[in-house]
Amino acid sequence: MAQRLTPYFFILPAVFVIFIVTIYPMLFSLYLSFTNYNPNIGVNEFVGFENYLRIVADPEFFNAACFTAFFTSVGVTIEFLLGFGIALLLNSNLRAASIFRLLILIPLMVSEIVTGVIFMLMYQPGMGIIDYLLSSIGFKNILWLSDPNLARWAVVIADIWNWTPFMTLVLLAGLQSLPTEPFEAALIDGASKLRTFIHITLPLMRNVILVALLMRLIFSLKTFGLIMGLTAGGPGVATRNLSLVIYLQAIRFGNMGYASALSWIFIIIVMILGTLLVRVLTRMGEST
Amino acid sequence: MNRMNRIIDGVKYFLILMVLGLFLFPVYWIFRLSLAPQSLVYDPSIFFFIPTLKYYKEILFSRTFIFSMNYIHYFLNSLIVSTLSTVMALIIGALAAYAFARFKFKGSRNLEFYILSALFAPPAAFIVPIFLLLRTFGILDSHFGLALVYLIFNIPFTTWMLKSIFREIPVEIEEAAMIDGCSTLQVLTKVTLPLAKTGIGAAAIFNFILSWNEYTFASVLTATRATTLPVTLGTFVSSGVKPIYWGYAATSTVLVMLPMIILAFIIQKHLVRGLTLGAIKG
Repeated sequence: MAQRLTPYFFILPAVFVIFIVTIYPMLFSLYLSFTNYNPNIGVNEFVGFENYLRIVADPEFFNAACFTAFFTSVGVTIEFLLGFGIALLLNSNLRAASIFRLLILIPLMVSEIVTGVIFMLMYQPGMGIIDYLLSSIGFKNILWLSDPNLARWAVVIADIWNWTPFMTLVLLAGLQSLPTEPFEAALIDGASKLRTFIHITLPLMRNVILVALLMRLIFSLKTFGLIMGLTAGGPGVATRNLSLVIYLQAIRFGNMGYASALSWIFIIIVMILGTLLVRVLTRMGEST
Repeated sequence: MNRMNRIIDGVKYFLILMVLGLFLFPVYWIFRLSLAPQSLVYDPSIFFFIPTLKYYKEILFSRTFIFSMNYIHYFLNSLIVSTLSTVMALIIGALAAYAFARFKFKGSRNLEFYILSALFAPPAAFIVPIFLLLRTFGILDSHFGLALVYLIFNIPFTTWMLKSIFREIPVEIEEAAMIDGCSTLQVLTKVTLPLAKTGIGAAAIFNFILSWNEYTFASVLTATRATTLPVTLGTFVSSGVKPIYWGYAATSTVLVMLPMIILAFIIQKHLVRGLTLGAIKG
């Protein structure tokens, strides 16, 4: 009997701590989302679904949702394609491949806020290095951080720099764990490289690709420091994503109730993606 | 044919070097900014110059530094919070990972995913309840409070990573120890953990990097006492960054990122396993 309970004792601390730091705050936040709690002006009343109705009509939420969708879809797509390309290059048996692999992981270790500050310095008009280089080839006065459309791309570019190495490392590891037999068979059959890639590499890599994409999607939605370091949401509200809107509502304006309702919408979106990721991870666990 | 191969290799090298150049340039540039004298900050055509350590000296040793921050204080905060969270995550995570790796029990799969799901928590969505929670317990702006919150991502990563590492250890070794009369906990501490020490070291460094780099929670849950290094970088954004501050901003970012790049090189081989929750070995 005691033997059967052993594993439960082992996982108890983890289960307890995760409950304290995630489940309890989520339930608390659910409760808060039905109130107008604001410590700045000292109100705390039950308001029912008012906060959720306000979200539907809130142009700031709509703007943030649009920017989040743009940032995540464009960023993750480019990171995936670029990362896969680099992974394929590094997968060939070049002599220096291991050094290249080591160097390419550097951007991944640079934290979000540091990436933001680095690119903010590089994007500075007039004397920032990007403006300097672009002017020298004829593109003068590109205001990366004060033109709303350019600022959105500026954030995406910084994110691509930061996270493409993640895609590269994960996909490269996937490529290197592929069995060799199917490729030998394809070679004997005289299949072209492109056909081999589409009909053998991609199907065998399916789970690895899904894990890489889903993890990046989830992390991309959580982005906060990068934008704080680079544009702080500006110019105007152009680069505010869901995280920034929640932060501003809660910390700057003290609208804890409204911020909690926004948080719940956000949590539900991430949970859906998380469930999908879990399914793929389970499948991979069963196949090994 | 041989010549053809050599040309293809040449093209590959060229492409790789171009990609690397693009990806390493921002890091090179920020190092250059941190070492360049004020007069050379804008002109990238000058490659060789006598570096100045002015910014490093002022940031590290001068308390009258431009933003009047005591760098060593923040550095120690980062070190304490990251270490504390790493240690807690390793103990709690190793126990859970061992149960998942070695026991078949009812609900194990659901519990595994319950722990994993914490990783998806978007920090911004948790700042309100966690801020109020820490305030209630009086651990707002404390090392312990922040380290505890970092367990949100450190426990899932550790548990999943160590689970895949423990599974690679042959179960026969543990069974032999069992026969010799060791309890499950003794087997874990005396047999399994020593055998898995490389993997555990990698998991520790991985946790440390994640904690060191964390910004969202740190910026909201600390005020002065427990403020970590990444939070101080926010100063440069809000100050609007005039060119005279570039050297300081660049130097501060170098000081935050350099130790992590070195650590990442050390655990290079285990990095992919960590990043993919043990799903891909790398």
